[in-house]
Amino acid sequence: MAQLTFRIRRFQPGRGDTGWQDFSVESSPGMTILDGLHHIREHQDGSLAWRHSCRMGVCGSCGLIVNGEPRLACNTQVESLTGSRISLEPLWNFPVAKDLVPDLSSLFEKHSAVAPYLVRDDSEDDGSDGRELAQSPAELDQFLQFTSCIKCGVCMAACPTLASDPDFLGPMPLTAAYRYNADSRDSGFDARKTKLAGRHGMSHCHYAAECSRACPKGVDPARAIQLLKRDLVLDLLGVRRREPAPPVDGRAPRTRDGLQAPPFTVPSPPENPDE
Amino acid sequence: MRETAYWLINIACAIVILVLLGVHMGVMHLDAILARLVGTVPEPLAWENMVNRGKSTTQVVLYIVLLGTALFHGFYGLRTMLLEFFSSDRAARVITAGCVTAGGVLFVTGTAVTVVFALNGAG
Ligand code: SF4
Ligand code: FES
Repeated sequence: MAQLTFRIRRFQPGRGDTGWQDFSVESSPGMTILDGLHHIREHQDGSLAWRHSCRMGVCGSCGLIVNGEPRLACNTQVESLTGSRISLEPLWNFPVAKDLVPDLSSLFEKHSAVAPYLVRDDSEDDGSDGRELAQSPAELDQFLQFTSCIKCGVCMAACPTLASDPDFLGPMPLTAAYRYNADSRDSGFDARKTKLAGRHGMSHCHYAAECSRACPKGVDPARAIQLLKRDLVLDLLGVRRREPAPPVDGRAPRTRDGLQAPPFTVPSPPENPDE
Repeated sequence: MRETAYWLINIACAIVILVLLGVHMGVMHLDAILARLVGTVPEPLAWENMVNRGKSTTQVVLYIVLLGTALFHGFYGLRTMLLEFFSSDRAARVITAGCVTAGGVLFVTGTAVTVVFALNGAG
């Protein structure tokens, strides 16, 4: 077991950056950065602050900068890093609340600004009348990859454009916008367009693609942004296909690309073998 | 959608510039290869050939197209960089107006020089 040095950049509310502080941690097999942080708080400094929840790359709350690269603390094993000194900073491009805790308010404000949900012109999408919005596997494929986003903000910290223009929407919200624009059940393209085509929208992306390199979930936000550019250009030229899938009844769902989906049936509960 | 239009024109300009730079390279620097393909080609750097190119309508149109696309592409890039550092609406208006004015003045000047040269020669 090797001795590691966790070099942590500390921030205090009201005092700002209070400098780097070194902590000695003994590594163990499978140890993650998150495990190391827990060890420090339990044995060395109870005031050290960071954010986490699931410990398995699902909740998206433990993003930080590890040796100069944005990553998830719970997803990064210390053995995967070279050298015995590990530097940790809060995510770039966000204000800091305390130590390794970034203030992600701007991320969520930008996210909600792009209407990240299904927008319909009709009011018949709640399923209460027995109808559903059917979707073929091919239609699902148009955006499936982008649904893996866990809103961790790692891509936002990696984005060089955000570093110079804090008003730029950034990779995560742009990806979320594309995810819904590309959904055959959605008709919110026009509602999102003003924001996406604005001065801080898609045209500001220089395609550095650092977001895709950094994303721990393989979402590829840079690709989503290029697809978004394509859609906005097609819309500008008036050749974008835009009609959303119509609601269909449960017996004969028909999707936008014309494929016949299997009938929707509510599965009956398994029989109780004891009866 | 103005930003999308600017962006689209910028990409279109990049493609046109690439094509015109290819033509430039072919005519000016790869004349030996061109000669093998199409027989004799005029010596590109000879004074009288340069003057003749400047008087040819096709060349004049290509010069002006290259001037226009290069100016748009360059000033769009400059505007994008400046907007990253000065992002208020007022700053954006000033930067855009500045780029349009500077680009416009350079385009008119360059076009005038090219046309006057085509009509009058090198004097
Ligand atoms: S795109 Fe990837 S890096 Fe960005 S917020 Fe989503 S999961 Fe995190
Ligand atoms: S703790 Fe949930 S993603 Fe790391």
